[in-house]
Amino acid sequence: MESFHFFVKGLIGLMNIFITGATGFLGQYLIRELSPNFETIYILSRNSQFTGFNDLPNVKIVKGDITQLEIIEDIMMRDLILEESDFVIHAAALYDLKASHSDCYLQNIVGTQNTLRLVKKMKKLKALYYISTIAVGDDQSFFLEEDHLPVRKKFNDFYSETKYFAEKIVRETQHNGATRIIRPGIIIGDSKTGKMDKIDGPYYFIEAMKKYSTFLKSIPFIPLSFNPRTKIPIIPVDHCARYISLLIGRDLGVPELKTYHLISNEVPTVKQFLDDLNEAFSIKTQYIPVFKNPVHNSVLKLLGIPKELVPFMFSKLSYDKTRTIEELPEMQESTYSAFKGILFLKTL
Amino acid sequence: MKHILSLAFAQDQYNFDEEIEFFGETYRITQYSTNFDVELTENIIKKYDGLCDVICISGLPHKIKFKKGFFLHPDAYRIKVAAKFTPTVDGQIIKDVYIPYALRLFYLKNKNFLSKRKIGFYSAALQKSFVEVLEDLENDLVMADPYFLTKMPFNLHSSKGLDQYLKALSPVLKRMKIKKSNVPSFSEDNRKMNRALDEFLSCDILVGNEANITFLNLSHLKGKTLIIDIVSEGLEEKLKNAGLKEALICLPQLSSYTKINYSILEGIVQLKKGAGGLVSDDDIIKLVNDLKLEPQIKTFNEDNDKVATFSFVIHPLSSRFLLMHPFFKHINKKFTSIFESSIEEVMSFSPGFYYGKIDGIISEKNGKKVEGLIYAVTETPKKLMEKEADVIYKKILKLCDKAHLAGSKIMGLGAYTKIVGDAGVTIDRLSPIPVTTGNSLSSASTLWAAKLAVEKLGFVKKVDNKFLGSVMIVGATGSIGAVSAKILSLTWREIILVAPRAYKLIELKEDILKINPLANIIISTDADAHSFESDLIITTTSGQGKTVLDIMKVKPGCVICDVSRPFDISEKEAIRRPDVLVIASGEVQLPGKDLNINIDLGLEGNIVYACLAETALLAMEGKFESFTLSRNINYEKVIEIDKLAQEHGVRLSHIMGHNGFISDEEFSLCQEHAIKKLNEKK
Repeated sequence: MESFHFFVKGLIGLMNIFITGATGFLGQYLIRELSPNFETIYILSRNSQFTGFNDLPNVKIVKGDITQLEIIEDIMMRDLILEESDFVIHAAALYDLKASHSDCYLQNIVGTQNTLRLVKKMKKLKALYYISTIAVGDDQSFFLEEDHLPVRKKFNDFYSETKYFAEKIVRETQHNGATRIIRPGIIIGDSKTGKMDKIDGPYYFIEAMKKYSTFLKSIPFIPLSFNPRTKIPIIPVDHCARYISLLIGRDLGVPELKTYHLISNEVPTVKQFLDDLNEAFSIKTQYIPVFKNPVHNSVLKLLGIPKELVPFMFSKLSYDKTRTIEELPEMQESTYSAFKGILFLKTL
Repeated sequence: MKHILSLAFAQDQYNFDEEIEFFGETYRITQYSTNFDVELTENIIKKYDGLCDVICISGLPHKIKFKKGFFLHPDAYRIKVAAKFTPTVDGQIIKDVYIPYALRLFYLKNKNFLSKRKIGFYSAALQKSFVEVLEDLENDLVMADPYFLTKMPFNLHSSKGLDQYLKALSPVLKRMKIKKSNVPSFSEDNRKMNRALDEFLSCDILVGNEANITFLNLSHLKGKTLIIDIVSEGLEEKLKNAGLKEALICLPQLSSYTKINYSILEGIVQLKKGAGGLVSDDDIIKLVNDLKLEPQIKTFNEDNDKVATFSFVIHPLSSRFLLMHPFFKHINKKFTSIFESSIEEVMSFSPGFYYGKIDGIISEKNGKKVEGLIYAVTETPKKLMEKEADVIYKKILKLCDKAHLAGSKIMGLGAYTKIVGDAGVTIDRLSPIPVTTGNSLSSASTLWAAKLAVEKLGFVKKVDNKFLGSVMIVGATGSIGAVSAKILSLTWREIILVAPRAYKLIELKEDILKINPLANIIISTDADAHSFESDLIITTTSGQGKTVLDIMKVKPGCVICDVSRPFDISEKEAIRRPDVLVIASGEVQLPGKDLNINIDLGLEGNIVYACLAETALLAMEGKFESFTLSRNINYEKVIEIDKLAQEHGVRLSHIMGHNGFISDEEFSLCQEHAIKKLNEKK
């Protein structure tokens, strides 16, 4: 197995990769994971002066915007990328549960379609890695299969909706390489440093706790809209970047469409997470789970937790990881208990 | 390569960016489904304005024109004017020019499909181009605009009412947001609660466009007919699952180009026009001609379980049949002859009535179940011919109305009812359901019977499928006679045409020579002058029992095929010539193991008249159209109905004589007599 990895790694070292969304939170980790393994990494950025990767000599910034019909302005550069790219990672997206439909649509659907237009013209493409999300799953169902995009008509937010349709477009588009769809869970901070670039998912609770912990210490219990058994499908950003990099390194370009669910092996339930949060803040308040209702939605609003997050606190979904574990046994090492200390430590 | 930006305003899932070849040219089409998001649609237009060659917007509410004004929703206006550099089209010009033309074209080919029907519009305001044409075709229109646009429980029934409604409502409509949730439910469940919806859902045909229908619960379309502008792949599946019976698709040619819709088509016209030019009506006319666009019927669900119903009108073949009525059962048989003419006279004033039904007909081709409702008028042939045609028309038209109410889709005219006046043309024009005389199958079955009888007697040699003998048609210029003559001229060495008017015979001779220039044709006004040399005689006159032929002069071994009712050759006369076989053609058997005829049609068993069988055949095929009308039967129609009969299982039952079936023994007996007579002559 080890020799096989070196063999593939040896091949990969001569290859080039084109990445969108490289300047985002996940993208920055991803570039650092991929940099040693590729000859050239072309990263698309609206800002041609981006300095984040100045220390990496094989990274080239390409000026462009995925919402434009021709996403790379410079024709010479476009031709070069079309000619040289062996892999593409399309990670650019607008991840904001509160964003308008129009903004989400332009970034996630229009952006994906424009990127695919470019991808279709790449002659020596081995594989396209599209970074989707587990939010494409129907939270009213119980199981999200890896190689299946469920039929959905209702969405809780425009991010899920537009990412769903974007994945649909990717699945339906034919090109010269293989298609790999990566559905990461809720990306949280670095498992080693706790670094996080934005308030998102569980961080809303941490922020709320920071604000109201003094007040909460005096309250014995508080009713809260959540399902205690709902699992929070998280994955630290560094783990996610490493797993994508490993998948690329092991990719033999089999034309079959493959989907991977990148979620830590052990994830907390909402109840477990709240208890850990209490412990971190030395609070003994009991959270009494109640059904979704307007009053408690208002309470959440007061705490600064967006209403778009509520459906995720009631989700019944569990995620199929059969193929992912098979091809990425390392993911079993990613456990909540291993990184929860860092997660809360950083925030305090 | 020209680049088309397509924005599907009323769709939410259909995004693509592909190069598509359309009539020899390749276009890049980038489509985004913006799901009623005005801001997004406007943003995309502004983003790509000047970067693509044409912007095509579909699903946007069109300009609603009414007398002295128009209404265009402010959001639609906002989107239409968003682009400053790239021309924007929305398919409206194609719809305005092409749809009226398409509907007219379809009407001319299928008159009954689009005429005198109850047609419902989801929103007539959004489909004005349909309204004007369908209103002209005397349809009963139900426009659900008040319900569709504002959920108000009433319908409109004329374009004038629609104009007034729209004018009054335009200030309200202006303030309404265009969004998916504004589309009301057309579910059957709401039917009882809402009279307007109930009236709309009771329509025979519903008219909608793809943009609106996509967002409705389609269960109400089960068993219905839909008129629609275009059907995309996704909608096709939905309509099929909803149980839609059939759809008249105005632009079916685009079905093979699944990525192209009305607005993209208009965009292509715009591209050809070049920068600065605007698409005009003439450009669309040219496009229609170039691409040979025409509407098409598409069947989505064959409803084999549902019984298709046809109707048929019969009448007593003589006053003797009237006396069979229970009313007259107490009259002493001795006196009947005294009362016969009085009863005939009195009974002819009675209105037509439902007589009985034939059920259990099952097509061998598609398994479709069919039942026939039999109506009767009380006139004998004599009375039918004596009375003013208008009186008979009215009587039959009342029966057509009854049949329509009873669910019949087509009406057949039996025996003399199809001879009256202009042979069904006026009745068909005024009837709510299509009418057929059934003469096409009568002709075909006559020829089946005649051929079989001649072959069975075996006096005429046959070489290469051609009978080396003479066939005479008495009444050749009549509708059945003329077609029989044309068909028989292909399979007989010599053909003798007999009719009272010589000029008509000359015309017919010329017609036959056009079909078969080698035909050997003799024309005559006297049947007796040629009966001695004829091997087959077909009589199809309206002589009402008058002698048209002296049977004593007929050649021994001849087959006389008497198509007329009442018979031209009476039973008494037929008995005088045992060496001549008189057959009564036109009797066929309908398919179906459990066929049940609960009335006396004057025929034995399950045998029916060929004209009735033609009506049943059209019902089996689902071809509810005025198949045979007027006195001139179309040669092609006879060939077509012959083919349908073979497919659906309508067969020649038995060869019938005056007294029922002609058995094989009777054939042998006739053969023996003929041989004897021929020997005597020698």
